[in-house]
Formats: sequence, structure tokens, C-alpha cells
Amino acid sequence: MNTDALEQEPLGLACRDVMLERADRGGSPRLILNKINAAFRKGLPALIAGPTGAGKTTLLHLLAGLLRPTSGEVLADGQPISRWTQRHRDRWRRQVGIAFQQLHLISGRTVFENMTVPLIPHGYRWQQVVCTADRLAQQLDLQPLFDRPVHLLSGGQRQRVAIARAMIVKPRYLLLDEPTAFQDDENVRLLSCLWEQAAAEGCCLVVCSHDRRLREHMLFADRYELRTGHLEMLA
Amino acid sequence: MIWHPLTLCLWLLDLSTWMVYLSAAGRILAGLPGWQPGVSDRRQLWREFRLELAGLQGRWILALQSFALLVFITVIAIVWPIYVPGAMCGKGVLQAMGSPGYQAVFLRIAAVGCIWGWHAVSTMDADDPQGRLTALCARLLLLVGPLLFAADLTVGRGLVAIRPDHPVSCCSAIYDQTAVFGELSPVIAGLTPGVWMVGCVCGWIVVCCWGFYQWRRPRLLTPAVCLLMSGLSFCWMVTAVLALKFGFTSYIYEILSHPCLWCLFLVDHHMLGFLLFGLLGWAAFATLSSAISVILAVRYGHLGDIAGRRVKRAGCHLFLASLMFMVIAAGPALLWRMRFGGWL
Repeated sequence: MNTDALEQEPLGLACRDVMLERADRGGSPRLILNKINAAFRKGLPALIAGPTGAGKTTLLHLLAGLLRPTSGEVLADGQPISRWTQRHRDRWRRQVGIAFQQLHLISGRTVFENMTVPLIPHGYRWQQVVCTADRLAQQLDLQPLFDRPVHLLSGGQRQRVAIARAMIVKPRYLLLDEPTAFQDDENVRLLSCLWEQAAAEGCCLVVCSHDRRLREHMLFADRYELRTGHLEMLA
Repeated sequence: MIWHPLTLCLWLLDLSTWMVYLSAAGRILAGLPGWQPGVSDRRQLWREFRLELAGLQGRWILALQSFALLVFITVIAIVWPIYVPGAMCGKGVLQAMGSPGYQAVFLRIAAVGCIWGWHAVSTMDADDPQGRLTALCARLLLLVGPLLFAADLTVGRGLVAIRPDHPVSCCSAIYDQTAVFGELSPVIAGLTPGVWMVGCVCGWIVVCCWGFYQWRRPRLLTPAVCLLMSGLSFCWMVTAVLALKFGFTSYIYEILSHPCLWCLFLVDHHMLGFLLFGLLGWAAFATLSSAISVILAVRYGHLGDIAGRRVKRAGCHLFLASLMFMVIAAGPALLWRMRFGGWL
């Protein structure tokens, strides 16, 4: 790989000529993302908006290393992580925090257990785990729910647990998919404060949403619009 | 033809290996032409995916062939002697198989050694996220095919040569071979068992120290020194086999002299052969891995750190394998000395 060219990439996540095709029901290829070129810089939160089915979630999964593009590459701090083998991508993913649109919480487990799952591979001490979870839960107003199984929570509470799970390891790359879909205005303000703080600490934050409250929020330095597989940067 | 279940198991393993190998070779031949690591277009990503899959299949080939070698040694040493009149161990079976038998053993070991060599390169490639050795690994895997084919062919030829109505003389074959060896190389054959054993122990001390040094080394030595020591390690392994044949086996069999290594695999001798040769194989792979890492580090400078880690691990393996080998090989001799106050 051309390492000189990679070193010129800015710190953070970047897409270079990323294309993704999937076979539809008939077996013929369907273009989902077309020549995506974008740079998501550290400390400068980015918002990707677009209508439903435009490919926002797919793009976020590509950035998180969960999917591999059909052509082009995803770069993290100049390294082409999308071309790495599974083993290296798995290790790299420890630096990524992702909140899925479908949440994917472990049903039947408590809020505390769900929040602390990403800490397992990091080998934290128990006291440290409790402290970290406690601090984050306070910020997200989840502390009174610590011992409650997640399937007994409301949609908004569950979504905040998913966001807390993504943020608990202080990830270098934070990827959020429709993170405010079930939140009221007060919680949107709470969450945006938290993201602002994370970005100020050097986190590369990418949010996919078509929530009008986020689109109008001053938090985001870069705004993109994804339409039928094409990504455009908004002024 | 011998239709023992283990024989069938051997053929099944070989058949499976070929199926996996042919599939991997197809992927490699499709992916290798036009390999351009600097490009990230659709075709190159497709090639990378193909070679990644071929690499995974290579690991299957390694597992299948290592197990097949174990089964092959087992059938020669334990199972087939039942079907060959006069054969008491693998020596008699090889006598009945004729020259293809010896060739088959050599080629099988060579094929497995070659795949382990590929594995050493492949693990270095796996440690490097950029995958700079992927194309080299693919080419190496292709080279394994002819060896596999030759090994299977000679096994088949040897098996066909076995005739249940032609008895063999297992022990006389050993002593005849020793006599022929004496005529061909009187200096080496003239060495007493004690010389082989002392040579083996001295060599072991050097190899063991070298392994320990690599494991706990303060810094990487020059490639020339590393390769020289790898060569010395291989020489020690040859010496160890000869010392085992002419010296240590006497204490295991508890007779004055019976220079037969195949008898070590018999149940009567607790199948020590599997353990002893397994440990030698382990040491050989560690040495091979260390040598390959050093060569690749010289050829590809950016792999220095990865090579350093692999050499360190190989050193640990060489140290442990050689130590365990000597304990098991020389243990019976020391016990004999303690019990009876003298050497055989």
C-alpha cells in the first residue's frame, strides 16, 4: 500500500472512493454507496443526514469496520483499516464506540451489565469499572436504573444505555446512528453536551440522523447529506 | 491392499487435503495475476479477499497434513506390521514397501515441513496489518502441491508393493543396513554410541542456551549469527537422531544394542517415538520459524519488530522442546546409571 499517500490523510476517519454493492433479491448487484469521499476529523463532530434508505447506517458500519467496501478504502488515522484482515480490524475496533439504530442491548441483563460489556477486553479492574460506569450513568441520568433489566426500560432510556455503552471506553472514534430518535428535548441537550465534551477531548464523532433538532444544532462542524448513495458536504 | 480403518483414514485425510488445496490453488491463481497492493479498486479488493480465504485454507491444509503424518507414522509403525509377515515394527513394513516406502516417509515429512515453513511466513504476514507478504505466502502455498502429489504417489506405490505372501526379516534389515552404512562411511559408523551421546548432550547445551538467549535476549543478533545458529540447531537434531539410534535406545529397550528407531513407536515401549520425534519436530519448526523471520526481516526492513517477536517466541519453543527431548531421551540412561552404577 502507498504509505506516503496515507500519511497525508488527516487524523480521524476518512473514506476514499468507497463503493458498496449488494446483490438484491434477484441476484443482480445494487449500488448502495457510490464513490464516497469524506474526511471526519478528530475534534470536529460531523453529522450525516439524509432520507431513510439513503445508506446512512451502511456508511456508519463501514466506518466502524463492520463491513468492507466493494472498492475504495476506509482510513483511520491514515491506516487503511477496511483492507486489514479480520484479526487486526477486531483489535482496532476496541477504539471504536458505536450506538446502533436497533440498539442491540443484551435483553435480560441490567443497565450496569450492558454498559460495562465493552470494558471486558480492556482488562479494567472492578473498582475502575464501577467508577467509570457510575460517572457516565450520572451524566446520562441512568444511575437510578442501574440494577434494572434493560427490557423493562422505556425506549429513550434504552437508547441512552446504548449510547453509554458506546462511550464508556472513551473511544477514539464515536459513531452514533439515530441517537436522538427516542429522546425528548432535555435529553437531546444532555447528550449533545456529552458529545461536545468527547469531541473536545479529541474524539472523532460521526452522527447519522435525520432529526431536525440535531440538524439545527451548533455542535456539528461538518454536515453531510447522503442521497441515493452519494455523499455531499453542505455549506 | 490393506483396508484397515486407519489406512482409510489416511486416504480420507489426503483426499480432504487435495480438495482444500485445489480450492485454495484456484483462488490463488485467480487472485495473484495483476496483484497491485497500491490500488484499492474493486478487482484488487476482490483479489485480496481471495488470497485471504486461500490463507485460511492453507491453515486447514496444515492441520490435515500434520494429522495425516501422525496417522501415516502410526500405520507404518503399529498397524501395517500386522499385515506383513515377519515385520515387528515399521522397519519391516518399509522393507516390504521397498524404496517407495523410505521415499514416502521422507516426502511426507518434507511436505509437512514445507507447509510449516509457509505457516511461519503466513503468521508473520498475519501480524502485519498491511499484509505485505500476502502474495509471497500465496506463491509458497502453490509450491506445496508438487510435494503433496509426490508424497501421495509414493505412499500408493509403497502400499501396492506390500505382498502378504512375501515375508520380511525385520531385524536382519537393521543389521544389514548398519553394515552397509559401515562400508559406505567407516569414520561415522566407527564412532561408539558414547561419542554420539556425548555429542548430542554437548550440542543440546549449545542449542538450549541459544534458545534461551533468543527468548530472553537483550537485542537481536546479526542475521548471519542467527542463520548460523539455526544451521547448528538442525545439525544437533541430526546428531540427536543418531544418538537416539545408536545410544539412548539401548536404555529404553534395556538391551545392549538395537539400533532401530521404529521400535520406539511400539506400545511395548510406551510409544515414546511419538513424543521424542514430536519434540524434535517442534524444535525443528521453531528453528525454521526463527530462520525465516530473520531472512524476511532482512528482506523487508519494516517487519523488524514482528520478526523480533517471532524470533523471541521461537527461542522459547526451541528451549522448551530441546529440554523436554533431552529429559525423555537421556532420562532412561541416567536412571540405568543410578540403578546399576554403570553404563551399558
